[in-house]
Amino acid sequence: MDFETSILCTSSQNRLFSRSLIDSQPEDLDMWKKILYKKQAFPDNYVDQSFLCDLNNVNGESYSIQQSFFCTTAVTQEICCTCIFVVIFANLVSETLSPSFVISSSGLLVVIFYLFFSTFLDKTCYNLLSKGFEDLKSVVIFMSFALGFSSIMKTLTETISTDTVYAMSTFMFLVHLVFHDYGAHAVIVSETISINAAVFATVCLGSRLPNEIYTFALLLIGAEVFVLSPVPRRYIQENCPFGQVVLTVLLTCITMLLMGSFETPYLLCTTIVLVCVNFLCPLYFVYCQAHKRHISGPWDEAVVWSS
Amino acid sequence: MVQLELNLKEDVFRFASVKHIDVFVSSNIVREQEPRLAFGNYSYSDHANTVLKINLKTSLGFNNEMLEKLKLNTRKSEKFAEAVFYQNYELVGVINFSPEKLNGGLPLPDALKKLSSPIVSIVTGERSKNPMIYKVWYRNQPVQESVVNTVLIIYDLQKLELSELIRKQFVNDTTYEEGHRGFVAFLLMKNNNVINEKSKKMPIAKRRTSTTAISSSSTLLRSEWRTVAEFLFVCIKSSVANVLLSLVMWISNSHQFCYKILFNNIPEGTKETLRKTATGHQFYIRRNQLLYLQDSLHKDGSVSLRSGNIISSIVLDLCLGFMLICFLLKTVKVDKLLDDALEVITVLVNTLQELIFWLMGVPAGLKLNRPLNDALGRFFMYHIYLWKTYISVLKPVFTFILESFIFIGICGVTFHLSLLSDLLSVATIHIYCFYGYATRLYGLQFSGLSALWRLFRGKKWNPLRNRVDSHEYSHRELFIGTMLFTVLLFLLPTTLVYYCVFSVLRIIVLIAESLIKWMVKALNLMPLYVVILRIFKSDRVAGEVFFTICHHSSNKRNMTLKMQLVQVPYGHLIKQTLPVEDENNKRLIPSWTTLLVDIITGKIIYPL
Repeated sequence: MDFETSILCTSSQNRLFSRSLIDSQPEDLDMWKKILYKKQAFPDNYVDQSFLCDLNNVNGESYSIQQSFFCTTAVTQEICCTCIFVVIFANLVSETLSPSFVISSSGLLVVIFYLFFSTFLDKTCYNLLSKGFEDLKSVVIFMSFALGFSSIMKTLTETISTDTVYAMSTFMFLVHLVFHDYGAHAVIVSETISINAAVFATVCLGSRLPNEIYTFALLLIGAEVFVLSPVPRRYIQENCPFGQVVLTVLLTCITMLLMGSFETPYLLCTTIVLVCVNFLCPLYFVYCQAHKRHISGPWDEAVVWSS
Repeated sequence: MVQLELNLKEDVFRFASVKHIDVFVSSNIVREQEPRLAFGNYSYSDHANTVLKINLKTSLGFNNEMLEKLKLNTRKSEKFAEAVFYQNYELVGVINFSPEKLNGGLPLPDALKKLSSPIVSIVTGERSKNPMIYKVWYRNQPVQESVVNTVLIIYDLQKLELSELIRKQFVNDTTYEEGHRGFVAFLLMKNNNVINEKSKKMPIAKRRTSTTAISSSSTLLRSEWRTVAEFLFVCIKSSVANVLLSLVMWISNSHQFCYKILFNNIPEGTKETLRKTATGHQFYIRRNQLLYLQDSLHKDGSVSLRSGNIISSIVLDLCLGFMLICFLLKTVKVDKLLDDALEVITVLVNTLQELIFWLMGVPAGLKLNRPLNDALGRFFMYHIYLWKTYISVLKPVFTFILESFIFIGICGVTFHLSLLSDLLSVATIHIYCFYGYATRLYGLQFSGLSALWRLFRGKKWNPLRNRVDSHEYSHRELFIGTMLFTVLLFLLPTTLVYYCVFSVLRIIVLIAESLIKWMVKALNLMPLYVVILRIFKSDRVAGEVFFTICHHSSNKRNMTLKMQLVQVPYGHLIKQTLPVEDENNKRLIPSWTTLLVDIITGKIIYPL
């Protein structure tokens, strides 16, 4: 793609520029440089094949439909995770789900996935002993803090009306979805804000539960879903496209099942949202690309990428 | 007959091209008809201005014959006396020779010091009905008028010296170039030297009488009765002034003595603490005032404007205090006072208790966090219970304070007011305590919230650069930080309610205390003496000089000016005579924005 050619252009220009600083005589016919302060063997209006390579997006930096579908699976995954969490919360509130079951099953799942991930998938840098100790420390800290704070959380938002609490959590989950890191380089991406918003929403919801154990269970599952799970999922997204698709399909099915068991209108809502996000939006995006008029080039403001 | 002579020297020829002469005339000397000889000397240099100073001395003395002759002259008729007088020639003052015309014609101070050579020239003056025309004589022949410019300024020396403001303002200012200010300072300095030489050997208390003696001689020209009456008045005034002076000095001396005996043994720390209370502070201020009085009376020998202010404010204080004591003794009984005071305090405490009960419920419909609310409410209740015990312990001290409350007015009503302020502080200590607790708690919560809010956004405070930078937190930190942030955020309304309630109470108490302190300060600084002088347009508080043109000749070479003293506006006068503020005692008063920021971020506001 033109990304590579643009890199080539810039690197070649850099080489040319550095050479021009050393030489002071007119150059021979081989090398033409894009300067006017030296007399060259070429006429003034001569251009070679590096013409227009500084324009960043004119030469068709367009995405195909498959690419767009693939990239939006990350968004779908995140929405599904949020929905799963909300369903678990709803079940905890109505006491159809017991907290001990939640704690034990989620703990088990975490351990299984952790071992699976560390041994099979990421063979490069995982030393089970040292990193495992770090992770164990994290787990202990999470659990102890959650346990300690659960009694405070229980009474924190008790006096606030339920509608306000639900509105606040919804808003916070939306913030979480908006600021999440889906793999795109954009200024709005802030992993910190998204995690914090999700934890904030969890804490808000914590006081609607009947008991402290429930709050503890909710905090644990919130930590797992929003803090721990993005790590392997991002890894899979970057390195294993097949796994990404499989994971997305799996999560979608689970969501739909849970929503269906909950209530039908929610299932309908979820389906519509997911279809929109994963199919309609990429199609529209690809369609809109043909109408791109905005050209960016060397005249734009410099953007500093922190690498 | 007034005659004056000046010896001439040969080299006055150099002055033939003199263009400008200033003549300063002192009006009391103009009125005198003593024959005088003028002696002076000059110094001459090429480019500088030359100054000729002429000292006036009586050559023949003021003997009885002359007096008889003058009396005869004045008895005949006023007009005749004037005519006789006006035909005399007289010259007094300082003559300034300069090769070119000066602006205002002011002599430079350095030239005054080079007084060594003998006299140079004669200048005589002839005074007709209004203007005063004078000529320059050289070897008994007048110099042509076109050669010489003269400005005659008539002033009243006595008034000039009386006015303290002018003396203070102008004598200390040594810049002679600025218009009339330098001129006035020059006049005062010149005459000060004359007077100081005469009266240096006299004791301090008599200095005032000597100046009056000089001026009294000028009044002998008028009719006898008036003369006698004025003389008597002057004597009485001076004697009363002397008595007052000695009384004040005796008071301040004895006070110093008492103070040394009583308070020498108290250590410095206790003194500092006592000075923090309003009554102690007032004692300290009163002591400073008396010390200042003592110093200034010793230095000046007479009551200056500042000292007069202090004396008048203290006297007013004592009178009001005495009146208040009489009033209180008539209307109030001591036992009933004690009971009333105790009742007031109990009412305060009970009101506070009810307030906390109200806060523990649902105050103003606000839904506060129940466990925190309960905890805080119970804590404050226990504190009130402790306070009630404290009051019962404090009863005897209260009795003593209340009994002394009435009789401390003997020192002045300011002490009454400061004791009242102290009592108010003592009665509302528990409000101050509660305010302190609530402020600390709120302050902690506020700072924690601001730090965690930065964590929420992914930023961190950089103390090295004193700014907020972005920072990558680990997941653990994010999780715990957000939980803490949520907790603090939802507990904020409860703390805020308590903080607001107690702040408001504390601010009300502070406002009451400040009002009392302001009244005390106003009473301490009341410039009664100066204001009364100003109302009666006394000469002592005239602050500015004003020139009017009496006459000028057609070719504008001769001009007669009259210098008068005018009064200054009240505000300016009061500002000049306020006591000097002690640098140590100056406490910085915070601005309104600082106060507001302190309230919002939860810092304790200390009483000003």
